Amino acid sequence: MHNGRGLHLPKIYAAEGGRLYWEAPAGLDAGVLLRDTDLPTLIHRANVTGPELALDIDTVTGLGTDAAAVDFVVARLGIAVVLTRRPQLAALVAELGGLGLLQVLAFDSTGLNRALDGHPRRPGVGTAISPGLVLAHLHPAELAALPRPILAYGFVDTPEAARAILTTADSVVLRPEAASLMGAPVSLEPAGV
Amino acid sequence: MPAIRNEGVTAIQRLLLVRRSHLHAAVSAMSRSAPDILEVLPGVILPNVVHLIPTLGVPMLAGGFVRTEAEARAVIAAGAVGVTTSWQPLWDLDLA
Repeated sequence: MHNGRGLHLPKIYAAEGGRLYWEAPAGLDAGVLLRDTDLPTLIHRANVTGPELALDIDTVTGLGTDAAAVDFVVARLGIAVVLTRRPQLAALVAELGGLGLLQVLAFDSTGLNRALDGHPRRPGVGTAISPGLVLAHLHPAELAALPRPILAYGFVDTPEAARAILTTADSVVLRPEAASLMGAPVSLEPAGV
Repeated sequence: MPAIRNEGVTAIQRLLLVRRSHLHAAVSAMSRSAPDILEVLPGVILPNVVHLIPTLGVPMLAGGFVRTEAEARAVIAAGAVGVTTSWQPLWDLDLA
């Protein structure tokens, strides 16, 4: 999908630490989510041709979680989709022309509402909801309150679960082996922007 | 946990399910702290992930987004001994 600002958000992300060099099956709208990695690996991967990269910026050893780090990732490395637990950094990604995804931890309804209170709610900032599997259990009003695009992140382990989650989410994170099993193109209607 | 036990209080430790790659560290920490009771959040996904959670030898509660009788029963069937919920229609539900 495109987020209305010309940025492409793949339907599928394979999560890896940067050394796997996962490749998307032909025809699959997929990218790689780098997480639990380190700065040298991040820099290397950003300069290697491959699937589109997204970055969980809070999990990079050696990289700060501040405005300078966001500028480095978006402007210097060219990674346009960045996940973070920090609302101000998600907003900064958007200001730099990228797509910020605020990671929202959804453990219960009270906590979800509280977490969303801090969402920047501005163009270019969506929501990465963890665990992604919980999306199937949210009420319509709760889903409507999540700023889009929505990335489902965590415990979506199978292609079947991913396809089910993609009826409400715009994109879903899978382990590489599960992402490879998606195989054929995911032909679902966009869940909305 | 020792400080809690020293006060004669039952210790409940929460296992927060964020993503699979965090689970091992969370379970290891729980094994070290040895709570009296484990509470899994969000409990509504327990039936989907219980196979990933090693048996810790303590009773397991599940809470978070459990809002229907079917979800409560599924959580119990997955191995929880009880459901924690603020959803009042479930408070009088007999799950025995």
